[in-house]
Amino acid sequence: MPALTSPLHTLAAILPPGRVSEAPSYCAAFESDGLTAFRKRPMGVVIPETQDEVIRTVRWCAEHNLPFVARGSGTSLSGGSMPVSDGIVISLNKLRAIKKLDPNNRIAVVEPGVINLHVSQAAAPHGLYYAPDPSSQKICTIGGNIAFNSGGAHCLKYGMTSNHVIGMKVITATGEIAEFGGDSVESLGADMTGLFVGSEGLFGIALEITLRLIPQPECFHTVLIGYHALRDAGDAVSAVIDSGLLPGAMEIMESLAIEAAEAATACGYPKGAEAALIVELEGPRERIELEKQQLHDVIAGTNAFETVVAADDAQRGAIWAGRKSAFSAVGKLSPDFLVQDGVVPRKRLGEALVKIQQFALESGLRCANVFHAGDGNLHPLILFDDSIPGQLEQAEALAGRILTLCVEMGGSITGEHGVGIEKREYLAQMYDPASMNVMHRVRAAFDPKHIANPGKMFPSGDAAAPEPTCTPNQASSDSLSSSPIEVDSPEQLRQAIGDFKKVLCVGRQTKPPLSRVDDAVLISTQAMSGITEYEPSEFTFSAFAGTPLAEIRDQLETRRQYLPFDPLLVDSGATLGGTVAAGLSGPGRHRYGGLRDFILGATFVDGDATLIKSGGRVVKNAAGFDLPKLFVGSCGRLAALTELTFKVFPKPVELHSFSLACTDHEAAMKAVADLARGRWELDAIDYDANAKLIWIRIGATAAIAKQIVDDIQRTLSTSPPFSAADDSLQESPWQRLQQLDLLPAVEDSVTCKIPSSLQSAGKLAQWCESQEYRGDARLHVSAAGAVCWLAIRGTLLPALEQQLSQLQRAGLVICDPQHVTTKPVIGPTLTQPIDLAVQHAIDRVDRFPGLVF
Amino acid sequence: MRHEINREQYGALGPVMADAVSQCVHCGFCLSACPTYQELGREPDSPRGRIILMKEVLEGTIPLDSAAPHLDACLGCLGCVPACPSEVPYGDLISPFRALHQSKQPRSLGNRIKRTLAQLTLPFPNRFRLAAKTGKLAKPIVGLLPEALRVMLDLLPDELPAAQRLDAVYPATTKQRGRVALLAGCAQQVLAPDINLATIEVLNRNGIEVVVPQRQGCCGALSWHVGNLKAAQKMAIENIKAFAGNFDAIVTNAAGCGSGIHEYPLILKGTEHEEAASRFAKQTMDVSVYLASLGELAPIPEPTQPITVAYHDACHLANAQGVRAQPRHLLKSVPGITLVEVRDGHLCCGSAGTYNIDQPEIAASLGQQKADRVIESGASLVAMGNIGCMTQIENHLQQKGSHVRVRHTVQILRDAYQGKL
Repeated sequence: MPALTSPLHTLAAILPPGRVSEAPSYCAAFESDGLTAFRKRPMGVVIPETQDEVIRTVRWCAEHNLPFVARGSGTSLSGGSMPVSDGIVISLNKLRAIKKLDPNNRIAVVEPGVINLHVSQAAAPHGLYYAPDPSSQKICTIGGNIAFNSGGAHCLKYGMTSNHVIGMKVITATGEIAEFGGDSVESLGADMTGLFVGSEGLFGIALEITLRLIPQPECFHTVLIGYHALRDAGDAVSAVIDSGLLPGAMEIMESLAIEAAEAATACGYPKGAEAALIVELEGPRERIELEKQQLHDVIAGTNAFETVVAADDAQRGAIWAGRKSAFSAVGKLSPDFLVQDGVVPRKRLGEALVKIQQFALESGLRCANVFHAGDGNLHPLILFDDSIPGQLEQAEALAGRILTLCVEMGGSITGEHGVGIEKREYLAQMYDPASMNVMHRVRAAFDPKHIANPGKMFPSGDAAAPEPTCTPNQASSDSLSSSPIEVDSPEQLRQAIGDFKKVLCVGRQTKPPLSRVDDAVLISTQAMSGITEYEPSEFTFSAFAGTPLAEIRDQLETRRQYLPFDPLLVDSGATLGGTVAAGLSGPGRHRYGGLRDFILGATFVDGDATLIKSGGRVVKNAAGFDLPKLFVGSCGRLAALTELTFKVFPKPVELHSFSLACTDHEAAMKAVADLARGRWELDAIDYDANAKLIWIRIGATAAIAKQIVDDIQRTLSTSPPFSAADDSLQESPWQRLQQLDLLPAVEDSVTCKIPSSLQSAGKLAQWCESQEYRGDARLHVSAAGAVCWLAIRGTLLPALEQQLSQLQRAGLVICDPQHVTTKPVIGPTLTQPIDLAVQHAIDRVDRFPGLVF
Repeated sequence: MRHEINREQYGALGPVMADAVSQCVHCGFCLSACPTYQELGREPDSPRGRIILMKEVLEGTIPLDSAAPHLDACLGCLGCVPACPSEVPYGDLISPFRALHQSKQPRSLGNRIKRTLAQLTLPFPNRFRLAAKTGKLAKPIVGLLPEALRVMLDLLPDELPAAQRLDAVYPATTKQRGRVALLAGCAQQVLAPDINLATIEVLNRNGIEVVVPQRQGCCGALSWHVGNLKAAQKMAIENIKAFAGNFDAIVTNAAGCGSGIHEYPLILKGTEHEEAASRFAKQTMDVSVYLASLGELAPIPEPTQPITVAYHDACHLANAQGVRAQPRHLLKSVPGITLVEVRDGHLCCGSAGTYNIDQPEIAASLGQQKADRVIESGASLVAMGNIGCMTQIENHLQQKGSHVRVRHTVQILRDAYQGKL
């Protein structure tokens, strides 16, 4: 490479030779990503080969105030990785090591340049895979997926990237190295991992990422259905949802897209169809056998003119190849196109599509529609020819109308592609100025100098946000009474927060140790209660923070839906807000994910006593930072939650439990690993360590549950066999855990949640069983080893602390009736500068008590 | 993708190149199929990156010498073509681009000698034979030679088979079903003359008369792919003349030659021969395609013991000619053969014409990977349809001490007919 002339020579000097280039060939090749309408030549390109080289590069940029754009394979469709002319591109494609693959705990640790599909390929020999499947999965990188919280066709059931990233090591734009989350799907404290995913490269670079892997579905039942009218296809989607089925994917393609895909891949789509619908069921064969008949009946009731069922893997592959190549295949129809990514509530799909067709007609441009129908995520492809003057502007104007339409319909400007450069002017349509301000502040916590991917996401790019006025915390008279102050509306809460110097919001205080503070006024939101919106066909509801979980459960039950994260303490009166703040999920979280995976939106009051909206009300939304996730586990230390929006699922027809006696903990942990990796899609896998009993729960009819459990026995050759349990009985472990009543006989017991791995759980089980602790400790390992619920006699806490230090695990005390401990956290924890910076970004006046960690 | 290439500036090939650029939407799907991107991990060394670079050079916005190293590193394997949902005809861009810019590109002396030597010898069997023999003599002093020449010598076999002169006509040995002309190939005639004999025998046994036009020459693909348009055009015109006659098909058994002939319409674009070139290309097909088109083959005897055969997709057969199913079908029809796939089969073996001479490091890395995958397949024999791949894979298998035998698909068929499989 030729010698460097620009300021980059000092960067080159701290890296091995050949890493930095400012040759025209490099600058040209990196000038744009998958959206070529936007391009810019960077000053130079750095291609680091190790994490250390990335760290040196970012720190050099921070020191020299030089912007950088980190990039994976450059497949962004929002211009998210377009370079900046006064900065460098950091290409992460050579950081492509899969550093660890742990099939028992079902996790992989990867570098950011690892290609999405390669994770699944590496996991395949263990029967596992990485669920998010963007159409570009053959080449897009995990780092890029994280930046834009990428989705794919299978988001409806399994969620997006953020639902599968459980930990990461990052370098922030200031050069700070931080670690978020860990090796367990459960974590303690504010969910910084969730915040980082979808931050569009504005926070820094993820250097090492821990991914959750799930068992490969055993069976697929893929059906391709042709319709003569788009509306009929839309109606069919609603019919499938209303039937209580939960397909892995539901996709619709319009005629123009069908034509392009058919030409490119000969995928065998129905001829003459105005719309093609793909529905894919997946799961264990016993269940699919039943569900495919159900699906068939639903489809028969629609106006389908042709139904093709994929007979084998090859035909399924062809159907998906057509869908996944649709975007690029349109390249054959038109020299240029813009892909939009708006989301609308599913019930308004038909209406939205008609409007989009009308807009396209008016603009004189062609528009091909491909969309993730299951979650209302539209992908209109606007075809244009950039060489015709004015057409790009015309296309952008059409795109703008579509985005505005999505927002007006209560949806989002982006479901999975991110805001990037392309949609940045539209973000403010979704969030009011106060909410935008909070996002600016959070960004500044990570990147005060605006050097990480500047110009993206925020309207008018990088122009500094108007510094919002901040009411100083002038409240003086804090009456620290013992009973909390009651508020019954967000406005009352907002006023109350402004009135006191230090406040902490509580619900019904079912987890008292979390609200034990001596320097803050407690404000109770239990009177701020009620479900504000429930849309069964959208799989969403919104409710005030003080709403009891029991009320939500009962309301969802009327439409045979449920909260898949299986909240705890429901009958003890726990509220939705308190559950979010504590970040508690129950054993049923094993199947589809925990609380963090189902929260969609949060309205909250920040330290300035301003009401802020974050997230959205639709099942898929990648616009703006994912603040709702951040609050999960924050213990009310960041802000006061007022209203929350959640995703729900159809409830399993029935639940059936079975138990398996184990000889020792080691064998039990092995069996848990085998069960979790198997094809059976169990609803829960827990282990009662004291009784040495594994408990599994299957969400299916009795007959199917029986078939599945018989197959488990055959496959794992378990002996003795599983015994069926009567779920209504109190001795079922689910009940005990639900009430966190693990050690009823011990008065001064302390109950805590400890995110763990199978190894740690096994060691903790040994520890509990050892002579000194027997009878004084009860361990319930939940979520297939990912979390330990431990109840222990108060006097044994110091010993537990010591044990946790050895295991390098921390715990959160949830129950402590005798006030044995003063702090809610036990075991080793670490507060990092970035944690404090983010807290301060949301609560600028220290209104809320300090972090629990 | 938008471009500002002046379509008129580059003669008959200008619009072809401009259209190819225009069709690319920069989605990046091709990166997953590109062996050099996999090796180097750098955007400018990917198909998408190279398209941008060629576009920029054609537009005159970046200098050729900045783009050249990345374009030279392209194998021309066309792995990107089947991976591209927009169906960008990448070959229609890179080959004309090379033809256009070859002469303008400054190169080192060693590099020039290498390229010139290869082009002056490989297409001419007699010269190549002589050069190969000379090279063989030079093998003991290989350490003293410049790196550029050393790789060429490394690829030469220790022993050259005896020269084989082919007759003008080989009549069918069973009831005649057809009549074809055979393109005998050039390097192949020196390195493995047996492939032609096997082709003739299998065709004859199936009732096909084989004519070997005596005035035929090199197909020109080698020259074309390194950018020597004039030489390629001359060879193409000579072959079109040499193969004049009434044949059911013109049969090739070297993937590189077959794909070269399919590019004649491009090579001769804008000349008076363009139409003849199109007709000629349409008539030309790989021997496996022709055999598969016959339907039932003459019965093949049961072998003494079953055998596992892996099939390697030659880029110029699979990607350039879309021939994947037919050779597999033929091999599966041989009694006793269990056919297995080679993992990561879409990746080039690194031979790619003269690539293993021009870019020895990448070629060696790809060759080693391919040998590993072949060994891993558990086959005792690996079949393919291209002499370049055969030399490369055999070389790397030998280096790994493997006993997997490398055979052309028709050699396996012939051996099976003779009961010597």
